[in-house]
Amino acid sequence: MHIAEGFLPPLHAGAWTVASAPFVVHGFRVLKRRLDAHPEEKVMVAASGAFAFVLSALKIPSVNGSSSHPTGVGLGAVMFGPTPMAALGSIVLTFQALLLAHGGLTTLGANVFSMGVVGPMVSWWIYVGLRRLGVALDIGGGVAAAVGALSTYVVSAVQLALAHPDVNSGFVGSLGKFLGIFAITQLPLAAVEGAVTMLALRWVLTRSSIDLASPRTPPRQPFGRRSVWLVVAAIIGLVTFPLVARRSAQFIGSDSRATSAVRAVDPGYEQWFAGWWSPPSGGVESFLFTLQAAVGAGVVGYVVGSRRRTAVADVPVHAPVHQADAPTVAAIVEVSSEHTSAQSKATL
Amino acid sequence: VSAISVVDTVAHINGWRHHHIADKALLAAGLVLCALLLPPWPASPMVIVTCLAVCVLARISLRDFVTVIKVSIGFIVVGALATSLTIDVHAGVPVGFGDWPAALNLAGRSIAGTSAVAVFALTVPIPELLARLRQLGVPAIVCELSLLMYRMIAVGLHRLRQQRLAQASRLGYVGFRQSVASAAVLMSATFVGSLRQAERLQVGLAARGFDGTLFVLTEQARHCLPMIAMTLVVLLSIIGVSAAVAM
Repeated sequence: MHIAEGFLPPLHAGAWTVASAPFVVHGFRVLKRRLDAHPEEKVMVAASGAFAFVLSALKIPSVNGSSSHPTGVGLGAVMFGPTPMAALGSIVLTFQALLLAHGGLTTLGANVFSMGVVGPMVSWWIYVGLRRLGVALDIGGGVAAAVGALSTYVVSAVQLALAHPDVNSGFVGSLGKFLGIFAITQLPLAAVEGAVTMLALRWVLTRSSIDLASPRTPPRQPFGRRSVWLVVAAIIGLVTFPLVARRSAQFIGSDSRATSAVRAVDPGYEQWFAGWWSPPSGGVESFLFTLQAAVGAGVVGYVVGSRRRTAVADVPVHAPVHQADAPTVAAIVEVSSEHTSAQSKATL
Repeated sequence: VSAISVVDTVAHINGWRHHHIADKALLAAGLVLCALLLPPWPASPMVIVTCLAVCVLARISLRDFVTVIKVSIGFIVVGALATSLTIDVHAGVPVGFGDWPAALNLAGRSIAGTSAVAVFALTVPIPELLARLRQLGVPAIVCELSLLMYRMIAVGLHRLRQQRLAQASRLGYVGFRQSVASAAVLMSATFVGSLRQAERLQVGLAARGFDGTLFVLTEQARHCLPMIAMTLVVLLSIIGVSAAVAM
């Protein structure tokens, strides 16, 4: 869903631009590194980006008789991974704003955030998760495309609701409004996009010589030491920041905040459900609370540990070095450049 | 005729084709900022009228201009209606159009902004824009990828239309199921076709010593002082009238 020019107030437009800029810059840096090493891949990457634009001219049928065009978010993410998609997506969205008057230049940041950053990332992770569970490539890609398309529409609705809160019910009411209105068109559309993407992937797999299968199983890489430290630092930062920033806060649990919010909205509210059992004392209550956290931490620790052990054991000595970021372009282009060099040798 | 062919064609043949790109960018950016920052009444109608005037000056037919912006206007109207609906939390259901002046303002602002961007797109061809951006220091990778993409888009669209016509003439779009299946085949066939074509292009370029840089001739344009002066006068008068109305 493209947000039109002028539809966001300047402050919001600026904020979304700032939010999506790092992803776009990182995407271009990754692409640049790759293309500096392999300049012959440039034409291929551009062809893929151009295809993403051409998709917006592809009419797909929608149940209520109308038709619309696929976002291509899912297909792109499955084919190229989320990082290059942010870069290619920003170019595609700029072209759409200029050549189709679809979206706008000041709202480009917001549109890149929903369709170049969040959508591909959601699609990618769903796709990776389904593939690891053993789901077939085409079905995984189709589901990822459908959910990715839905996620872009949810993000757009959030962006619109933040910019135009309802006069009576504020952000929440406005969000419900936008989600509800656009659900009429977007839900069937996302389902159709999933189906089309699934069939398209199946077609490419079975009837073309393009090799999708090999890079499709994403590499299982143990996290690098640096990213572990970055995550640890981020967690420490996130935990300490509120303590420092809001010293006088009481840090009440969100459930009691919710209770008081309900009371404030509707003083006459009657509780419709009560627990079967309540702990005999505060001590027992906090003991159970801690116990559950400890069991949870134990399970998470065990899973992480065992996965790490198998991951280390699985990596063969001559493991092909994949870039988690750009596996597919790389792979498609590898296939084609072998082709190319063989052909050019033949020509010479 | 779809919007993209209109924009691309008009951008190359309009009356302002040979003006310096910075002059046109100044006008468009000024109009977008006016639409976005000034109170919508009277700035939005003034911006829209300016855009129409530019179309006349640049010998762009108003039909083309409308073709380009009409789809967006549809979306804008639906979105503005959505913002004006109010929802009562207690009742749970939407109740009437509460804030319609705000919605009207929003629609005006948005249509004005879209028109200003459309005027820019209709007077500036993309390759020229990219070449200028490169001179201004935008990284080479961005400009070159965009330029390559732009050149492949036309070919891809042509391929898409041809294949769709072939499918349609074989009853490929009769019924919902058949339409979904045909759309999927069309999507994948276009993708495979584009990649194959890119491969052939790559072979051709490699044979000519392609190192990743495409050299493209761009026209050297001069600044047009009367045009800049007129732009400033128009922008200042929009701001002035807005200020007068606000007082």
